[in-house]
Formats: sequence, C-alpha cells, structure tokens
Amino acid sequence: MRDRPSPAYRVALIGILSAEAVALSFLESLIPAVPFLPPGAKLGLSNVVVMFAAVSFGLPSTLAVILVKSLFTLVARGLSAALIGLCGGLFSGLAMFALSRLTLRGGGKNKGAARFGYIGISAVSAVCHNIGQLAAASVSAGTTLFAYLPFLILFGLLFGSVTGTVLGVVLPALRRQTAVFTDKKKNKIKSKVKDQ
Amino acid sequence: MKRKIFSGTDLFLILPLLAAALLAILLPGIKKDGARHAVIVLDGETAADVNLDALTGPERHTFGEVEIEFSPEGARVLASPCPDKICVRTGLLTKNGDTAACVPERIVVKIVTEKNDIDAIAY
Repeated sequence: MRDRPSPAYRVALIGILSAEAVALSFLESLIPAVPFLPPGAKLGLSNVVVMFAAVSFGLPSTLAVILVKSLFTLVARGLSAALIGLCGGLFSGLAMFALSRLTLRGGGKNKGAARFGYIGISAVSAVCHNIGQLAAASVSAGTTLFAYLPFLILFGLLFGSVTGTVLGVVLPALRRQTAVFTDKKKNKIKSKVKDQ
Repeated sequence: MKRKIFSGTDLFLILPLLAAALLAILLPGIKKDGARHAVIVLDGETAADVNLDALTGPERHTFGEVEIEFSPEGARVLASPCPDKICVRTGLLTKNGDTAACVPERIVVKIVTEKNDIDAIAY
C-alpha cells in the first residue's frame, strides 16, 4: 500500500487534478450547444478526473477538486451556475466515493473484488449530479424544477457511461502521471502503480 | 483493487434508473388533457396564470426582463438577459409538466392542465 501522503504531495496532486478538470470543462464548453438536449445536460468530461480522484485518493481530495472546479465556474459563468454546479458536484462526488468503496461479499474467488465497474459508478454519479443541480436550481428559482429530471436521468446515464468508459481507457495514463511525481525513485513506479 | 470498465452488477444500478426515467416520460403523455394553463413563477411566487386554450392568437408579456409568448399552441420564452439562454433554448412548452426555467432571472414557466381525476393519480 501507498505510504501516508505528505501535505505537499496532496496539494500538488489536488492542483494537477483540478487543473485537468478545469481544462476539460473549458474544452467541453467550446463544443457548440446541441439543440435537442434538455437544459443542463452535458457530457461532463471533467468528471473523468473527479472520478479518478474519488476512486484512487479518497473523499477530501475529491471534494477539493470539485471546489476548485466550481470556483472556475464562478469566474467563467457567474454565481448561479457555480452554485448549481457545486451542488451537483457534491452529490456526484459522494456517490462516486461511496460506490467505489463497495466490494463483493460472500465466498467465491471474487470476494473482495470491486462491486461496480467504472461505467456503473459513473452513470449513477452523473444522475446524482443532475439531482444536485436540480435541487439547487429549484431552490434558487423558488419553485420545483424536477419536471426535467426524467430527461436528465436518460442523458445522465448515457453521458455517464461515456465518461466512465473514457476513465477506464485513460486510467493507466492518469496513474502514471500521479506516480511520476509521487516517487523519488522512478524505478519504484511499477510496484506502486500495481496496487490499485 | 481490480476494477473492470463494465461489470455485470452495473446493470443493477443502471436499469432501474432507466426504467424509472422512461416511465416518468411516457406516463404523463397518456393522460387526457384538460384546459392547459401557463403558470409564471417569478421570485418563487405565481406572477401569472394564462389559460392557453382560451387564447385566440399569440400574446407577448414581459416579466422582469424576460419576454414570454403565450399562444394556443403553448408558451415559450422569447428573450432573456441571462448568459446561458437555457430558458430560450427550451423552446415551445406544450404538454402538462413542460417547464422552462431561467434561474439567473428567477423565473419559471410551467404548463399545468386543469385538475381532473387522472391528474390526481398521475401527480
């Protein structure tokens, strides 16, 4: 197992992951709006990084990345978008963390293995993101907006599955990146990367 | 911990959500419609209630800085000063439950059908 990380390591890690999340959400904002999508439905590419944090580094790091991402939204898109995004991010971050910690019980050779795949965790987290967004939007609009929820669930499941697949594909690269600046000696990288 | 991109148990997460969403989308469509009203909620309070089926032609009204068009077909947000224009992009609202929200302007347009027995069950 990894040694307990130093504060400097944590700050550096959170900084890199946050920068990646912000860059991804900026890149995604360059894609023109698709007319048939329900309002608030987006691919959510930056959640690839948030989910990597949730799966690999625990809740505090995940929440830190979500907070930095919301600060970027605050600067780029204003207060109401930032609050809605923060609420959605907190809901989905908690869901990612909880689901990623569940393991298979009972006998058999799979005991202790991860219970859910990246697609399952990501799809449910995307839906939780939508629920959080709607809750915040409903509060600030002063009336319930949950009429949107069924449509958001459909697209949340779809886009969540896509981002979950993306995470599964880019995971080796993300691990290599964090391992490079974790280890003083590069020859240790292999043994450290294996344990996740 | 070894984790797959897709595990069979993921279906236990995804399928119930998918079924619930499809049901919630399809069920209100079955319902017979009474007279449709467009309800405007501004700052959390009902600012207007327009019976769309009683209109003869399109009418435009401004609430705060948001311009809304009511017509026998439905209601839509024509213009809003907000940055995202989500409310405008939502387009024409026609069915019971259709909603367009402009959160920055704190205004929501909803289509509500007049209460009947089926309404009471569905909502």
